[in-house]
Amino acid sequence: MTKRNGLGQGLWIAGIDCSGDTGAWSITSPKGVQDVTGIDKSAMERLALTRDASVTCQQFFNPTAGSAFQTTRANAFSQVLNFDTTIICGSTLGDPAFSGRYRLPNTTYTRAADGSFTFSAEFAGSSYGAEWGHLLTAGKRTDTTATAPATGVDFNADGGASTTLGWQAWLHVFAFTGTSVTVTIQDSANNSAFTDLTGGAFTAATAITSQRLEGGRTATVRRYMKVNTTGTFSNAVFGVAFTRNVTATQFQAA
Amino acid sequence: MAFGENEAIAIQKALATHVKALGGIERVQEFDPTNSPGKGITACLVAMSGDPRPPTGLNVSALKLVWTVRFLLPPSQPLGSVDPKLLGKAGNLITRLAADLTLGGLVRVIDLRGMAGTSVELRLGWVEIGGTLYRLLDVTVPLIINDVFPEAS
Repeated sequence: MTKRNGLGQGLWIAGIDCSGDTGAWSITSPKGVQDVTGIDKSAMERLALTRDASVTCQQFFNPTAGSAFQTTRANAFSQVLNFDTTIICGSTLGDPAFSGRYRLPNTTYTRAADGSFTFSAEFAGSSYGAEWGHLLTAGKRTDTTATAPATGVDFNADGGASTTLGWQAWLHVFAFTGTSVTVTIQDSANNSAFTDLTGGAFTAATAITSQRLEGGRTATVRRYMKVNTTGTFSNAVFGVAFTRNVTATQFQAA
Repeated sequence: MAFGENEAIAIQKALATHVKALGGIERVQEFDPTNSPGKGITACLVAMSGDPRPPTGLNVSALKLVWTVRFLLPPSQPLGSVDPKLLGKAGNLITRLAADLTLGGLVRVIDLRGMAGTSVELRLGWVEIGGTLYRLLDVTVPLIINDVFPEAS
């Protein structure tokens, strides 16, 4: 495996590409633990509790539409906004992607004496923790008509030829012109004969949006994954991150 | 913003326009002089350095491009008048640049206070050109150009 740096990454927030407005990020995925060490034990025993995740982004002030600033500023007036966020570690099919659904409890805007104007957006996980998956699109993919790629992304490194522990997927639609576009996930055992993944069709999108899907917790996922588009449209710019679970995972969404 | 030869020329011309507008400059040239430039104030525009600095994003680099506006004046009587003359030109130049922070839209900003490193600075010294000693005043003009180099793997 080739070691890599952090150049050429991206940050997608709720269907907005905030990559250019973001200078740095950090993520944490802590998990609570409960001490259950009995008096007859000579080493600590602990139970894992709830999963969590947070993403902190250092961003630049940009007042134009479609900027990081415009994407999250409405949060100041809201207790209900969620942000589906995906950090992409490259723009090649299969590149790692860190996705989650977050609240935004704090944003710190700083105008420094040197004239710089930046802000720090601190996203806190909501309902799902967060997960490392892989891109099923080469960064942002642009379809001008219904499209079905011939081949997919090889997930052999994530559990081998087939897993039976379910999956999660994240869709960001960055731009859209037309009636609607439906993005559907397919899997294959041989990278040539693909079939729809059960529950793997996102809700038809008609505008900039983000969505999350999850399969059954014992759903089988085969080795190769790809995404097709169907619908009536002339321009659909979107990205999909997909996680094939290699350990048992449960979600109880609020 | 893109950056290539045409953009560099446009920036050079924009800076030259500001320098010419100061008045009292004998000549404005877009390179360092190789011969004695004259007895009045000469201004030279020289690109000095560049590097990616904030606001560099996750997948695109900005360019911080540092120019120097070099004022040259041979010593003349009274000697004490040389530095104030040069400092006056530099001050007026900075005033003009501060009032045109994007150089007419060519750059994101002139980094007046050094929010991405180098700030606008004045440096005085001496230089010998063609056997003549000149008092020199360099005005460092750092420019930030957004989103110049997209990155992909």
